[in-house]
Amino acid sequence: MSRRGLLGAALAAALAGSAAGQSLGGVPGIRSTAQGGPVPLPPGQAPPKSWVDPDTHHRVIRLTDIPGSASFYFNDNSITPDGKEMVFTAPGSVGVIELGTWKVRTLLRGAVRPIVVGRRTPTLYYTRGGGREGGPAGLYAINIDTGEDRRLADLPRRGSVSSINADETLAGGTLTAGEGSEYGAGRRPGAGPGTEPADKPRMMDERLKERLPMELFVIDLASGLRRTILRSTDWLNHLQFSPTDPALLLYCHEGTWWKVDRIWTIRTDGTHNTLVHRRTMGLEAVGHEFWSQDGKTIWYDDRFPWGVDFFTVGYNVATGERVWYHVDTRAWSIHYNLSYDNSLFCGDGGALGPVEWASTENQWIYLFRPERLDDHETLGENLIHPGVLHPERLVNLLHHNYYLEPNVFFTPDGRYVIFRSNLFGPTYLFAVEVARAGP
Amino acid sequence: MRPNPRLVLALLLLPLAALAQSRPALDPVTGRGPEPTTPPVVKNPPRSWIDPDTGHRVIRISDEPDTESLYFNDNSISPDGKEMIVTTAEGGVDVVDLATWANRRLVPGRVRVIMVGHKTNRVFYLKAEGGKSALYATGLDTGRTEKLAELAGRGGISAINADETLAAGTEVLDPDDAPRRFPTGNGKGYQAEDKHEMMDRRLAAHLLNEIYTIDLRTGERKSLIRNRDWLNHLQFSPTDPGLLMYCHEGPWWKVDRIWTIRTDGTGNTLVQPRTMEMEASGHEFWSHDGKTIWYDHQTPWGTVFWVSGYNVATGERISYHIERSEWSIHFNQSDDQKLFCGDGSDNPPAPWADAANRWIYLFLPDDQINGAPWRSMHWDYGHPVVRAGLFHSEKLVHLVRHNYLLEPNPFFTPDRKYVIFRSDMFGDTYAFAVEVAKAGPAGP
Repeated sequence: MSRRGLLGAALAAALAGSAAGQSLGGVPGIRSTAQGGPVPLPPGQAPPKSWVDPDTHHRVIRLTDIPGSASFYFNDNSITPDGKEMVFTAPGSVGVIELGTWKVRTLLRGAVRPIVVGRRTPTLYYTRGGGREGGPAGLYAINIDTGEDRRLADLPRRGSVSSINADETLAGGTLTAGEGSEYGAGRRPGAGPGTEPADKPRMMDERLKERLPMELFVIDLASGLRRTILRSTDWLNHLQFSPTDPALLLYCHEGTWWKVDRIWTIRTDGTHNTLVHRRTMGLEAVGHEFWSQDGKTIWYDDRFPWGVDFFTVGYNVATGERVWYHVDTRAWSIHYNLSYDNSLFCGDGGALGPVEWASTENQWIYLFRPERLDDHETLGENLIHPGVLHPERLVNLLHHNYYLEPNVFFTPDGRYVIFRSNLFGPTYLFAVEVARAGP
Repeated sequence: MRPNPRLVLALLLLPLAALAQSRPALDPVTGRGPEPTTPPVVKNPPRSWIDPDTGHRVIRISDEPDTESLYFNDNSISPDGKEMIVTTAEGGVDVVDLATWANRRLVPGRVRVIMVGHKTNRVFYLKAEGGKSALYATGLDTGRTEKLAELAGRGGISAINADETLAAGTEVLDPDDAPRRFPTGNGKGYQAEDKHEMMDRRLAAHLLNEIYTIDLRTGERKSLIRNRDWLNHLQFSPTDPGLLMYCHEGPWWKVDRIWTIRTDGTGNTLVQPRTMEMEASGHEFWSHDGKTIWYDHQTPWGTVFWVSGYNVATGERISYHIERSEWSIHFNQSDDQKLFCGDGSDNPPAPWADAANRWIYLFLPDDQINGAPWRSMHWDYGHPVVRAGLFHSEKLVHLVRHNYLLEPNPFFTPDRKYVIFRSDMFGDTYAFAVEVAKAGPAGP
């Protein structure tokens, strides 16, 4: 019997012994794997507000009633520094949810592009304007408590801002010089808002080949003055300031992952431009990097090589130490994240289609318990520390269309994993309890 | 604190126990599976059958009980590809005809076989003579025996070079050599159950030892390396008479294991530098053309498995990923480099293995990773990288009844029609050949 088969049999056997599936059978759209798996929601039926997943025994809560509402990208901070509120997007507006009570209110209306919530103050940074609205697009900040809204700076032509530093004194962004064709110029529409285009790999490849001249810049939020810190014909993207060091910026060389040296750090004075991961294997690919909340470690997915074997790798920015947690292909996830106390990881799974090595085995929200493997006097110096991520399934996403990426992250108290999903058709955001609701 | 490698493996296995229900109960302290037992003795076991689980024909190719094929990387096949040697219960040498499987006695009495030459149809072996040992060769076709050298001291000989002009051996030079004694099992080819502890003890002793060569034309002995690493597993290149592979023996993560050196003492080279704690390499062997050294490579030990290759001329590397359930104690490669084989495993001896590993395996290497055409394997990484690939496996023999403390040690016949291995599936040990081509569909 194959390993996949064994896994399925083990789960089926574990579930066959309990009546959990039957007792929870009353929730529309929710059905255990033993009973044949989730069923599509009947037309006209409102999706459930909350249920205990019959396969995992973890409680799942739908956080909004607004079709098309979604949580942020997995590494863009959406939670206020006091840990009490979370910002989300909805069609034509931006809202705030009180964590724990799940009370929802509207913060902003209109076509805005949220960046991140500040690390020091309860502020949502966002951009709006430009394009057909005329005039330069602007960088704005709105106080989540008071609603005070300010325009901080004009954005440069063909430029964008995508990160705010730890003490909220700098914004980081990129611009493309010249007239070269930008990524997505010829994009075919995806299945819906927030979904990945089916021909994303081809588009990425074409943009990478352009080698358009780009600038990495910072904007001083007090003066609005812009300063270029790096010029490059690499495709600069995914800026993420350290959550603790205001002068340290993580960014990437975008493109097909095995064709780029992806993950870099640079100081905001333009010095110490540093490659985080030097590849040693053909078709080795790293990406979906993110900061630990303490700012000590950059974590990322290392496909070693692409489609064959997988590690979640941590790089200590102060010491250069590395840890490689091995992840079983059957629990591999598009994005991983880490709890604020660094004790648990989560993952959003994957599916065949967007991910060629994934299968229905991967269609879950996961919790991962990291285990560092003991070292028994290995010969050598500056060695990678190996480990394993042990998966626990949190939510069955058999009916989720993975062209929408669930984008997991923990709440600061470690009690919930937040994600977005279209498992009931329209996209909503959800929280799943890290603790089990029952046996 | 004295490390306990079994404990870390027991920890490794805990999460797997939840995934795979077929795993046997493991000892919670050591992580070991049930004690292996040798199957009951079958008198006059069958000569040939089709494995009902694989559809491949298996042939018993040795006539007498406890005749064994050689260790996986010691050449046992004549350069003309027509014959193979096996060792007998008495400790002598029999010859097996690879076309008819007929057995005949070549060397009677007790000798210690080294290997069959790469140039002439001769078997090289050591024979004890009045408290010392001497190096002999006997022609497979002629039956003619020559004495090639008498050995001084306590050294042995374990490899003969490609043009059969040099022999190489190791010798412990420290007077107190108690820790070097290294019994293996019951003397019938079984590994000792406390092998790991013995290995640790011998490594920690850091005995002064050397690798030396003996010129088979002049009898001159020359010291090649002398140090306190544990020098072992000498394997000359099958094509380059001046190139020797050897290892630093010991628990694989505690040593930089695989090395090459030229017979003039130059070019001492570590084959696989380590980047990860508990990264382990071992069970190295030469490709038939002498271009590549292949080895079992674990990153880290017991968790992620590769068969890695190192081109001795160019330094180029390739690593084939292998599933845990297909991991084998030894791997080997066909003479045309197109196929690999493996002898499977169980726990013990490998704490990460289980009943799912009890097979003789055939592997088709795939360095295009399922043939995805849009990938450029030759993208410029700015520096040399390891080429990646994976193995597609086919099961050849289900070793349901086999004590895995006897390692099957697989190798291909030169025409790669058969994989040769040894097994105690009939109680006594015999050599077997399994057909690489399927005889028919697998049974129910």
